[in-house]
Amino acid sequence: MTSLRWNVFLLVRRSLARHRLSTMVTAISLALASGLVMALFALQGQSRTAFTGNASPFDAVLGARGSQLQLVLNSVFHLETSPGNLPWSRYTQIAADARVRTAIPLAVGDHYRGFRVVGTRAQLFDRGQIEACALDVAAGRAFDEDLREAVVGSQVARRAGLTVGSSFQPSHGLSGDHEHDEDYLVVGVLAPTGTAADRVIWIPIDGVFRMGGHVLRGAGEEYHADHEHEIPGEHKEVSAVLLKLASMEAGVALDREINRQAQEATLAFPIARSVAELFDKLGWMVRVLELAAYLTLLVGAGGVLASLYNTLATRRPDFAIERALGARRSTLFSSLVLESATIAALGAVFGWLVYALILGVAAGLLRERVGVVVSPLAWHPVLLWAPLGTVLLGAVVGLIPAIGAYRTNVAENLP
Amino acid sequence: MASASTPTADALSVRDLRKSYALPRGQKHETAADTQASASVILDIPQLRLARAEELALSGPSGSGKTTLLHAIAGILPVDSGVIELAGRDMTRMGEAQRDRWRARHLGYVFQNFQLLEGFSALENVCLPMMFAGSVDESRARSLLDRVGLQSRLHHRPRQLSVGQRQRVALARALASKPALVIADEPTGSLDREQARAALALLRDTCRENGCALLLVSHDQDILGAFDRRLDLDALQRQSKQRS
Repeated sequence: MTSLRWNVFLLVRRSLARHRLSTMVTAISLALASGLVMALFALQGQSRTAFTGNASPFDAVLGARGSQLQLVLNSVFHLETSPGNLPWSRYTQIAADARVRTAIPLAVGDHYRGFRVVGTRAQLFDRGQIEACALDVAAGRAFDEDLREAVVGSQVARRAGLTVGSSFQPSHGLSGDHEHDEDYLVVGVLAPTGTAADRVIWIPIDGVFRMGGHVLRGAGEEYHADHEHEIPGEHKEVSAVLLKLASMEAGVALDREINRQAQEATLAFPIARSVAELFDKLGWMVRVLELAAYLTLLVGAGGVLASLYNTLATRRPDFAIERALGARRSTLFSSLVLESATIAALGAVFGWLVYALILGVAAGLLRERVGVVVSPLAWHPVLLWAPLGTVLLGAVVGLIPAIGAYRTNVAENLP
Repeated sequence: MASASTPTADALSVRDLRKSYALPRGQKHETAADTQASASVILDIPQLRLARAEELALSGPSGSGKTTLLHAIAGILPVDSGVIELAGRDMTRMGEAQRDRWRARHLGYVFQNFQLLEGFSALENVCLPMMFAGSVDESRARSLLDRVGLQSRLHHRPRQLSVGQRQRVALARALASKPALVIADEPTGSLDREQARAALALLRDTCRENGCALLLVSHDQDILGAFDRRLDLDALQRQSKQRS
């Protein structure tokens, strides 16, 4: 006899269909707000994880005396300028330290089409030597340290069109137009890592030393290297040394020795802590953005309230007819609350689309600009509580028009 | 709490019904007697009965309280005193929720201008009273719409129907819950003479077929003349005043 469609949801569906324009407008405003809240929290969570969690397999970075954060941003995320150089002897010294399992020197300073050219050792690509710290070559091979060869990150290969067999000339500095004379041959393309390493062109560290126009000051005086002669060790410099430590205790001891006692260099240990401090410093800004997102949600909920409340006067005759046909006050009350909650639920569903859109755009920008990978499909609790909160908010603001419907005087409002 | 009607009871029994409205704010009775006077009394009905399947046409000038009486019988307007028994139960003694459900089950209402709910199809309009009563018999709604000649208009919205078709949907809706009583407030007011005659015949026939009593309010002498039992509300209230 009674089918499932004969219930209070029928009243809700018909009312939503009858006021479809205002329903869609208010649902979209809620969707924008809900999507914004979700995107903000998810981006914050994912970028924090990307920057502090799995950004680097190394434990610490050794660099010139200065800011740990700048050191990490420069050597791990390939952002910012280098805080300065260390003498080559400092690299050999730390590499020989029993507490250090792996030490990889980096020399930065040039670029090719906006991608940084970084000098390093071939062992960075040798999984047999440095195990999990190694970068895997997906096509081709690692460079020969004595030749002008390069291995490029996956994003460089895709966006700069560099493949095995391509050649290029690095440009001087991090943004200059002046091209060096040296041609480099691409011999390998790295597998994607989802880290900033995907945006880097790796060349032998001696190649950086010998690049035309580069000046070495490792011994305190200027030294111009050429391609014919061996470079004396005292003239060489490194921008940073990536370190894999034997243990956490080793890191604590090195931190104490380098940062507090000797004070001639800077050790960023653990790498994640330095970046976490950045996020903590930016915490107030995130709070402001969260507040703004919450306010947007409240404004959206206010829109639902206004749209329902404004139609109340014109809907009173319908409420009176329904009451005269036998509807209880509680039926009208619940139908209005459900209607408001349904508009909010529509907003929440569309909110996921808005979220996916924002995350999609942000993911592209982050991947291109920073090399960090975020995904709209990654789970974050906000993806559940923001839509649920939106629906709850919708139901709460629906109480006000619902009370108006509840109080409808039937005899006075019958047409 | 009984939920079924008493089979042998009258469809409607009204006794000693009084309804008055408060005077507008600032307007005072000049004497104590005025306070009791009938100036603010809109309804004063000693007795009104309708047996099962009986018909009654109610007339009266504007302001005589016809619509107020219908609202009181429907239980949507509280009264000062008296008894309104619908299908054997005194509605004035019921709580509001119970009265709503009783009304949905035992009273059919044909409004002036029909008052179909926009946004709902003809079929849904007919099913709504059953839904509010707690049990929808969709096949009955379909057969009622079939009976009034709208079998091909089940899913049309009110605005897609002609005036006469809307009137017939309103009639089917009033009969949907197999009510003991159908009250009709000027049900032919929007129709031309021919349509009005046809609509009245359909209203009376379908009420008779469904065993419903019919209480019809009209100004139209043609309509009133078609009823064996007629009542002038104004005259009924004057008699009441003279007795008191």
